[in-house]
Amino acid sequence: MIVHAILGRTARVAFVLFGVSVIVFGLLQFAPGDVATALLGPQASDSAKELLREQLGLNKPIVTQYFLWLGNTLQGDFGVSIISRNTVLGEVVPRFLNSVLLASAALVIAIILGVTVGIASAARAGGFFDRTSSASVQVFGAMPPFWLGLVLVYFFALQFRWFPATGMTKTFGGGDAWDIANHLVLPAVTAAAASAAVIVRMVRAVFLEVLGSDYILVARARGVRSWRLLMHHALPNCMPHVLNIIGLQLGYLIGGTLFTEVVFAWPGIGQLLYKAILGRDVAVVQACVLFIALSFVLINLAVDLINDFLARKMRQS
Amino acid sequence: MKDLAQVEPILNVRDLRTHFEIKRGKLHAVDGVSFSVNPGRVLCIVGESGSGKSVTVMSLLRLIRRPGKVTGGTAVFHGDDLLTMSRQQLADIRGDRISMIFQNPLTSLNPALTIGDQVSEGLILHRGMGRREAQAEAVKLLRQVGIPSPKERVTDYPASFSGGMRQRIMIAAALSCKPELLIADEPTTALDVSMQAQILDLLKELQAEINNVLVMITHDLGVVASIADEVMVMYSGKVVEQAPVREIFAAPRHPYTQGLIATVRALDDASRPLHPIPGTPAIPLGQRMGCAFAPRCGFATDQCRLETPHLELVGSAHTVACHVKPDPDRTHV
Ligand SMILES: Nc1ncnc2c1ncn2[C@@H]1O[C@H](COP(=O)(O)OP(=O)(O)OP(=O)(O)O)[C@@H](O)[C@H]1O
Ligand SMILES: [Mg+2]
Repeated sequence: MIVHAILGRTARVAFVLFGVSVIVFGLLQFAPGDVATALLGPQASDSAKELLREQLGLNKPIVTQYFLWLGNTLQGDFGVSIISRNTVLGEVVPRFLNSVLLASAALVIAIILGVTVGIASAARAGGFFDRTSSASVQVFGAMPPFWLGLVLVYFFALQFRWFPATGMTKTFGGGDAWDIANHLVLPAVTAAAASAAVIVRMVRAVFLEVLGSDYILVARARGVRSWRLLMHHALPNCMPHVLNIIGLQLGYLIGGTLFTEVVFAWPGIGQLLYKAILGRDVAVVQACVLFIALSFVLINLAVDLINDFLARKMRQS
Repeated sequence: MKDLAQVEPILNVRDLRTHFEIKRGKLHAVDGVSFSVNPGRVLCIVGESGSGKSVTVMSLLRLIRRPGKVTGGTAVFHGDDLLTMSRQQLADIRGDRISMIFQNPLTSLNPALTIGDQVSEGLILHRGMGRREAQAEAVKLLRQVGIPSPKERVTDYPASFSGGMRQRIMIAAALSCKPELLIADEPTTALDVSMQAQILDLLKELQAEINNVLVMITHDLGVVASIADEVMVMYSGKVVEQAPVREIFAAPRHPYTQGLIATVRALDDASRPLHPIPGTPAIPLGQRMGCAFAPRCGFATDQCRLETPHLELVGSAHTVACHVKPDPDRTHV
């Protein structure tokens, strides 16, 4: 049963990955301008360009080109960046790790904030806390990351001088952990805000639904009181939904992280992608898109598998 | 026979009022209900759907949630008013000295907790037992209510039990602390007929064993005849008649009670014509005037339509709220 489910999901993931690879490959094909011209510059002679096309296999049929590209990609060979002249992989991997750091911090903030505020709001629905949090959710949930980022920078970096606004250059080997954490706070909060707001709203709704069920009434009639009612009786029934909500947010969180990186000059894959697009560095764009898509797909696979597992464990009728 | 009037009641409810604030106005689900239950007795609350039976008993344990609100009355349990005591005091009574069994066993058990967790919870909360001790006690309770191989099944989740089994589990949980007062809200309605009889027998047996007070809500007058000592008939949020069980069946004085009984008699005996009470139950919405049953009542007079009848004594322990109080014989065709 479980093996079957995993196989089914994996097959679907493989299909999605195939689609991703086709699109990423297509980026190269449909990129405006000629690759050889882009690589060699506008002054290059026609014969030099032709030679390069021959070397790169650009004169071969498109299907053959796709498989050649796929083969290289699977071996980790993404080509060379036309901006930095480094290997693309060498460009992308450290940036990707920086993004993972930022996204993880944002995820932790979004989960802690979203789940606790959501539960607290549901526990006293209609009360003062609930109304306050609903209003905040409205405000922060609707703010685009770059706007919220600027607001946070204005207050916490420029006015109060609690945290630095930018200046993050190297995560690994740069400052110590404290320095990194300090640089992390504002971008992580910015990237987390929209997701935290959605998590609050949905966790609240899930808890309200569960708190309205008969077995909660029965537990109250048994003398169970507020904390135990929430944590022991309601939470296990909300858990699969909460995980699902968080899983859905991961995608948005990746998106939010990419935008945030540009605002805070965070040396992540979003910033790299932004620069690569401006510089028409197609190979880097391809690698960035592939990394982002791959993390997206794998995260969703993990979320689905965890949900399957929990649902099975619950043995819900 | 003992004089019941001199026995101190376990629970004394006076003028209980609960309403729901809904879009169309105030719905007086419980509108001035009074009753008391004496030690060792079984009280049955009967009445059509929507008459306020469930809301009455849920109000006693303050289980009503918005948009509902208990707005008046007292419910004195051993000298303390359940409706005004502190939350802590109430939580200590719930599940320990007063327990409840609900109508739908399929939704009353938490799907994410084992049945052992749920049956033993009262013991942990109210008796200060450790988990292991409480779990062992849960096995005993499950055996007592007739769950086969309870030792193996105590760690199972509710989904692997049938409706009848789940109601047995609910009963085991409700009785775990040997409550003085057990409230059962249509405990058999959701079950099939043979299972109904088994659950009723079980309740009767356990009630005799721990000698507690049972308040049971039911639609089924057959159940009333077999289990009740006292009967309380509700209509549209009010008590319309209350009497010992023999008197309710032998000499019902409210036209509504008479209608209920006539309907059942006709079902039992094919030679009698079936006379279900015509019309639909009155919804206790907004300002009310006169007897709520008047529009459906063959005896209704102008007085019934204008003046609300109050409960009056018509026998030593028999009260009825009716201006006409027709003789029981006149109702049967
Ligand atoms: N949560 C609620 N919101 C609004 N109205 C409610 C709510 N709960 C109960 N009521 C109303 O209160 C009245 C009494 O309901 P109650 O559940 O006590 O009836 P009942 O006698 O138990 O009926 P049944 O035999 O169907 O269980 C009904 O008119 C019902 O519509
Ligand atoms: Mg009911």
